[in-house]
Amino acid sequence: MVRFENVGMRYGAGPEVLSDINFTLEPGSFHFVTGPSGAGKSTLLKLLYLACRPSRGFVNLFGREVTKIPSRELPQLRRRIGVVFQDFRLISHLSAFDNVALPLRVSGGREEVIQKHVTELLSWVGLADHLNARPPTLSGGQQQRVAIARAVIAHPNLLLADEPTGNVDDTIAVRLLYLFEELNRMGTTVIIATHNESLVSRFSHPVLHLEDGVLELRGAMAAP
Amino acid sequence: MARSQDVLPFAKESTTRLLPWIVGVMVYLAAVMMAGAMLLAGVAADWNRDLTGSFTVQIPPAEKKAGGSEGARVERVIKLLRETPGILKVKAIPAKETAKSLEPWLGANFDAGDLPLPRVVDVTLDRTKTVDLIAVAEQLQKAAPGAGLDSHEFWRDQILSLVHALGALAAVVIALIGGTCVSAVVFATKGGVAVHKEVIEVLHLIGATDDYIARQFQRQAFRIALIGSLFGAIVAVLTLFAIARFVTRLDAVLLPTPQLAFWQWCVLMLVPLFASFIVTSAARRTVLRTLRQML
Repeated sequence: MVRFENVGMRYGAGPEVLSDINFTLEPGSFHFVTGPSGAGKSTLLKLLYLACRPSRGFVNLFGREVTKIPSRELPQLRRRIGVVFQDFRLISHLSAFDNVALPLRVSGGREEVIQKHVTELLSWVGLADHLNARPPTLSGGQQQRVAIARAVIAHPNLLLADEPTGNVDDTIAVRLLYLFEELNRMGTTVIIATHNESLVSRFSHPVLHLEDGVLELRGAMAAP
Repeated sequence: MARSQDVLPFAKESTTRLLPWIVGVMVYLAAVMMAGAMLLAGVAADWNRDLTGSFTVQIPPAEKKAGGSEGARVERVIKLLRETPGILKVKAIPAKETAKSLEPWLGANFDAGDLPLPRVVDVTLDRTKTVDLIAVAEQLQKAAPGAGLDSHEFWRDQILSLVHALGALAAVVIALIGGTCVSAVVFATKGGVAVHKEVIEVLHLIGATDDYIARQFQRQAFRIALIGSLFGAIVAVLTLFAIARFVTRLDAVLLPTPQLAFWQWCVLMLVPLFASFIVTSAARRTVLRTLRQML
């Protein structure tokens, strides 16, 4: 599903924020990416959701080397990836419904199917009464659930979440992680970046720990 | 749940606020310019058609000491012309009519007897035959010394050259108008892409193709272009009607009636549609080119 080989990443002419990253993730696995702020967690996720290409090394996603994928083929690949951004990145002038419907609409989904699935999913995350609400009128927790619903609506093969528990208390954080586990049981490969190691310790999933751009594998990991 | 048409918040965008006006003004100028060019071309074609198959013979008044009456000179010329193969019709313009044609310049009360006006003979040629005008001119000199033949060729060529030059100028001006309009659209669209960069990034990351994003801009550009160009076209039509009304009231004999044929109105109606197409295409191309630089 995911393989990193000697991956290095720098922004412009700056220093490397990731150095010699090597790991392999099997389909259906669940991993945490931990590390202090600035350790390179978000950059690692950016490489995974194809927001940038590595400065060196190889990133293999769904059996394809990302540096060799032509730009016109990136949308198809991105549709297999769901992302919960740290700052949610919801589109503020669209309703919660339309935000969640977006991944289906951009891939040409039928409107009646979209209506049914989005309504169901928003009900599932407890936002049945907020379908028409715009993100600025929702609380941080509600926005986060909209962001999660948008990330999973198209049944992605790979779900990436960047600090998804950053804005909620521990109880809700644990419930969110149970939600991700539920999605993982349905076959989605899940990668969650968080600096909350106490939360991670409550689960038995393997951890990719980043410190100053260098990766350390903790727990059961497949060999690169 | 109503489907949201605009994924990008164009309503809040300030970069395109002036664009409908710019498109409107451009369409207005292009339509008026095109109407002018078509009218001019039509008038030139009419003149050309009228003048190509004819020529005029001018017989100056006979000098008294040279002898011979004016009537006899005219008769000799008419006889000569009627006997010339290839000439269809010969008509001597009465002296009164010649004098009357000077009224716009000299007024209705002038005395034609004070002026040495030439007699004019209008000749219509058979378009299927060739007439040697040089030979005819030589024979005219013998029949009535001083008589001159005016095939209108020089005047016609000059006028046609002027009309062609004006037509070319109109085409250049219309092209410049189009270029200016496209530049404004490109500038505004680039601004729009910059303004909506964050949303565009999100759309990219959830799997939107460049084409999907370009369609959003394209739709908005089409709306703007349609509003602007319809406005410009309506004002242009009103202007043309006003000019036509003004010229008709002038009662100026030398000015042709500025009237467009049905097909010319159809061509003018294509201007706003063509402008909308140009604006939409320019917006689409600009967005696609800009997005290509993003990952």
